[in-house]
Amino acid sequence: MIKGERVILRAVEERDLPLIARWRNDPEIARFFFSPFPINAGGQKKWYEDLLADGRRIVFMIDSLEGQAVGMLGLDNIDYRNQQAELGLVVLDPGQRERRYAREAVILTIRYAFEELNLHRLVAAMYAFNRRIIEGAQWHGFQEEAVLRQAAFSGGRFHDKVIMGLLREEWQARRGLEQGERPRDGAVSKGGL
Amino acid sequence: MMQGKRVVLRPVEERDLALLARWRNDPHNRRFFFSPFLINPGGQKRWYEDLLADRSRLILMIDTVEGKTVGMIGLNRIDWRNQEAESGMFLLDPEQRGQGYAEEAVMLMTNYAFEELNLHRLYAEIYDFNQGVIAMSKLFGFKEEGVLRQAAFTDGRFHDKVILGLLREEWQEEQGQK
Repeated sequence: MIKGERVILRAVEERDLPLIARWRNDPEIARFFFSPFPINAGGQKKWYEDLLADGRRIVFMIDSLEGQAVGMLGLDNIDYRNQQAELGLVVLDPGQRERRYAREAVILTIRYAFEELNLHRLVAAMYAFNRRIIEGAQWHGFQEEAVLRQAAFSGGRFHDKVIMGLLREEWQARRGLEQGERPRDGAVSKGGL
Repeated sequence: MMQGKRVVLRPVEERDLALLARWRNDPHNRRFFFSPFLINPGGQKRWYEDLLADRSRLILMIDTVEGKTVGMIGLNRIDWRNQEAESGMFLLDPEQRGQGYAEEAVMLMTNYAFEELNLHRLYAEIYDFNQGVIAMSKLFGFKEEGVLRQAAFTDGRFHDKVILGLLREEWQEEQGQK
């Protein structure tokens, strides 16, 4: 469990599955997914069982401090040898207009990835039309690294995909600046900021 | 089977496995791989069985027209809905480099991907220091789409990976001009 000021990140439990299936089938949320397939209860159960057996994926439920599940997010394709993972699967409950929940959940997950999992690089992939998420990722320090042309089909046509990357040394340097601390491990001299 | 002027592409057979393991373990080849792990005959057999069951991968052997096996080429992560695949998994017999076999094999495979498999986009991820393959890909019309910073560890440090992409319309236009 990872506790923040507004949210708590915790493991997915079986009781969360109906809620997750509802999110995944919500057209407003699914619009930003790379998979268009609807999911039923059996499929969501299988997803959960696969998740338990998969050492390359970590999914967190986002709870408010009052204990209400308001979203989820995760690390995918964790590659310990290359010390990298994909930050993704971010879903916020449509009833929750509190965007700060998502923001803090991402901050906590990035810190967990760099400070506990010993990752060196995080990557995120999103539709080029998903400007809000791209700007959100930039706010967290991600830099645009590539535009994959016509790489994903949705809504009747191919769309570009944007790949964004964040290195641990950059994140450490930024954190030091924000908190007025001295960055650790000489991160400022190495980082490109 | 895909017939070119100098090479023929054909499916992998069980009898190819010993040769494939030798190429995969070859230090020169391995330098350009994203996986540093050595493979034994059991592992290579398992790779073959996984391949037979996997619709998202297409691996072909490269034979000369005289029937000598000189390399391997493949499409990975075939995504039928998005009509894209990764063009990669490339191996060449260390003794057969520089004879133009690779170029013709890539040409045949790319043509097959766009004209038969109905793919719309091919992409390749390559170490930034692998300038030979980057240059060859650009000759085929691949365009550099970005650089993944420090995305792969080898030889004691992290290296950038270059992403290259080729769209079917670009390929067809280029072929029309030839």
